Amino acid sequence: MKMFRGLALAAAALMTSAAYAAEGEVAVFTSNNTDPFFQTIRDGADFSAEERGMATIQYVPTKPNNIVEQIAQVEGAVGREPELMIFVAIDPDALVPAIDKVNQAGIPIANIADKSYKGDFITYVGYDNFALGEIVATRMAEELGGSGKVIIIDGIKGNHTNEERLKGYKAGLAKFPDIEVLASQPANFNRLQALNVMENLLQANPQIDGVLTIVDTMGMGALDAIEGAGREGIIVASIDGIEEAVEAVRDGRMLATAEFSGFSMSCLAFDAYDRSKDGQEVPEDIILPTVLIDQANAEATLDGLRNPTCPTWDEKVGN
Amino acid sequence: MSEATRSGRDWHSAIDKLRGSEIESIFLRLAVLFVVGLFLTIATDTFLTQTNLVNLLRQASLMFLLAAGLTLVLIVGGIDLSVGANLALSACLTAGVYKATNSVPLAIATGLATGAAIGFVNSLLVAFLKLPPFLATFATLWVCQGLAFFYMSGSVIYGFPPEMRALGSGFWLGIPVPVILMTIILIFLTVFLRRSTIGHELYAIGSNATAARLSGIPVRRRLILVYVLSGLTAGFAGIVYLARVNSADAGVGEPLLLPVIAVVLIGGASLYGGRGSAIGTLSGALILTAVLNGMNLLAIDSNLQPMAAGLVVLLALALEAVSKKHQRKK
Repeated sequence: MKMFRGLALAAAALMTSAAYAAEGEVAVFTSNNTDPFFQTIRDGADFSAEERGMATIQYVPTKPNNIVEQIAQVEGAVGREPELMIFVAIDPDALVPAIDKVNQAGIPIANIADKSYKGDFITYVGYDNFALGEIVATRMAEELGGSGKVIIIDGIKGNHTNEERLKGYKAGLAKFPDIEVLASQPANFNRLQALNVMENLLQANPQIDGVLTIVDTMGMGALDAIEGAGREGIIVASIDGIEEAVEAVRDGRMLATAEFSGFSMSCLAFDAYDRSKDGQEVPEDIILPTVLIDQANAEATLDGLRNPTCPTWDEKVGN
Repeated sequence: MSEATRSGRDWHSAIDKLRGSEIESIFLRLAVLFVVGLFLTIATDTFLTQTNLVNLLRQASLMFLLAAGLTLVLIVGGIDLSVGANLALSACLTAGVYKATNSVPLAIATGLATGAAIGFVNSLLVAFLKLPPFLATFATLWVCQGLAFFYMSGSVIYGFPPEMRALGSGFWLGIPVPVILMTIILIFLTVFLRRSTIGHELYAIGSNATAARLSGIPVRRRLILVYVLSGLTAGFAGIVYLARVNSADAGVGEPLLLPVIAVVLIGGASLYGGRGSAIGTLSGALILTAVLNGMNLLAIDSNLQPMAAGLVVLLALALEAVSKKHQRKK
């Protein structure tokens, strides 16, 4: 239904003239329609907007992660003069000129998840990907008793999130001198490729004690390969906290994952807007706390994923 | 002698010539595969093991299933850019129907019907509206992709029963089920292309569509057949994909489109039509899969992997170019 509303609003936008000040309208920019992570951002924005009696318009490039399309979408949205913009930068540099136009028009804009290097934002809301990697890797090393052979399955080279999490993984493992990283191989954030890569790595390495994947979807692929090959005693851990992975953690198939909630990012961006509107101080960067998900909190996390609600400002930001 | 029968003879002799070079080109591909295999056998002690070869075949089988119908489309001189999006939409609808009804047969029928229907639309655009296949299937790519986005609205459907997953990750007599499916389709396609009149007509259409029509080949009906088959195998590949990874989302097709076209072209098909074979496409799928498999076994640096894969593909193509030059000199 939300989608229909978005379409109806978009159609209305085409019929009315540009530069029409839309009361209570929130323009939400996400990178693609394929990665479920961005759906959690859109859901969080819809939820937060509804709480405030506002309505969202979702802008998603038809071609996933298309920079040119996002630039056009941002520039187009400026003409509608929405009350607020929630913005995920597909590219940290390329969107800066479009953001300048938003700033010139005086439209409040919050940056979440993927950062834009420049531009005047209410705030940036995100996670510390390095810390997420480090906490998961540390948990795995401890589970292995401080020694063992570990494989890392990489996403896309050069992707900021990928590199930060990878560094975090390596830093976490480096604290344990008896942990050996056997291989770090790429699977492009893709479940099928992770499955294939893991099948191949199982062949190449007679002894594997742990597997770390950069995102949960790759973790699910790796888990499938390990279970399909019937190899026992390999621990898998990852990052993102998607429902399927948290279920696997609860069922003891996976050791751990870490929260990376698009829903919460959206919520806090709205909170930050409320505060700035009231003239309160808003931090330049809101870095959400690093939360490890293992068997201890998997059930509670699942409840939260299935019936998501916004965290409170005090809980996540403080003061 | 009427013009029609004269050109008819022409295409029969052209086919004979083509089949001679076709066989040479298949040997060449098997040679490339053998060289890659030999290198990996020497460089690693894990490549030439039963389990690794089983892995390799299973990984290649999904590519082959997706590429099978596309090979026919390239033989008639067309292209089907919608196969990836078709796979995605078919997988998503199969997943959705299973979750709604808990019926595996109904879910599978949905996937096959979706694939074939997309192929049928392509065939109407190409055979009746005479749209260039590149543009027609580019448009259906977007339509399918959009439908998949709309249907899934950013979600993932996961968790399927063992009887469904068997299609992608099961074994029968110790052989992975997708490999058996691949073998059946390989044999069927090879017999179809080599032994049947219709198969020969496809090459004739790809070599010279006007001559083919003048010599009495029902070009339109043949075009419908190949595009429907391409859609059908893409839909089937969607089901096998779902069964293999236990999950479906709207984005699964896009990363497969360029590799699958590469597989068919490495396999000896030509964008200009008239060339291609099932066994060639299989060797294309095996070459690409063996390269990816080998890079994992050798633990090649992540940063270098795209380049290494590109170089091997170039090597395979360069070998063919050199051998063609050599043939012409003879």
